Amino acid sequence: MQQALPKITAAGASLVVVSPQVARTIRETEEPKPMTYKVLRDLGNRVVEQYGLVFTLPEALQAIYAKFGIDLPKGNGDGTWRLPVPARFVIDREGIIRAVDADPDYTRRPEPAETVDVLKRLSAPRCISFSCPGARRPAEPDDPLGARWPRGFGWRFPPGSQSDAAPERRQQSW
Amino acid sequence: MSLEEKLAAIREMAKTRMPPKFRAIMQKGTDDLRASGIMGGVGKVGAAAPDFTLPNATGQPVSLAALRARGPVVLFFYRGRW
Repeated sequence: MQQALPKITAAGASLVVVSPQVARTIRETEEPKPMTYKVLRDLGNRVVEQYGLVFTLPEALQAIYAKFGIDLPKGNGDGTWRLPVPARFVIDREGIIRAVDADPDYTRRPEPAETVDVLKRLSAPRCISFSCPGARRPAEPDDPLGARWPRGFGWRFPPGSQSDAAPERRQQSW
Repeated sequence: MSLEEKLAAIREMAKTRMPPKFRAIMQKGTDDLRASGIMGGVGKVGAAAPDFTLPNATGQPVSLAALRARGPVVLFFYRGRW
């Protein structure tokens, strides 16, 4: 994950890890490198539940974990053996899920390169006006669109209202 | 080497280190979980991502809304590594 991080941040995205484990446990299990992504604690797996990922470790496995000295109820801090199915979501600026990768087999993880590809597609400029670089400009003066729409900007806002925000919105994906 | 290749190598190593009885129970756990239908309830592409506010490692609240205001968010759910 640390290796993919530069490419993820270069694509203008942030990387967040949600885990039910207490912060101290999270720090202990992190690589001894400076953390450049956020690790958030989801006490009681509440957010995990909202994303449809929560399950309880079967009793046969609980016994094995206990044998290995893994005290999950303590690490969770809520006395349960509940865990998230390991998953990765890519969420766009509007809060829409754009990619999902989840697998009950916790030894399988999404390829970091795939995540980077999704982000590249998301951040590719999608133009809503003729002002976008590379977009076809209406030929003047007889092009009907060019005659009706002002050059340089497809949608016009009153001065001082949303016009400042408009160029940034062109970068969004949908 | 891709991540999947590295993970496959680790899985092979685990086969030799872990008693077969344990491996069988772990495999059954994974298979049962897959068969439970849990994957049908996982957040879908095109759906709204549930918003949340959770504490970071230093206890500061971090919200999904604040993160995505700055750009796309790559959100991982981990069980933690033991």
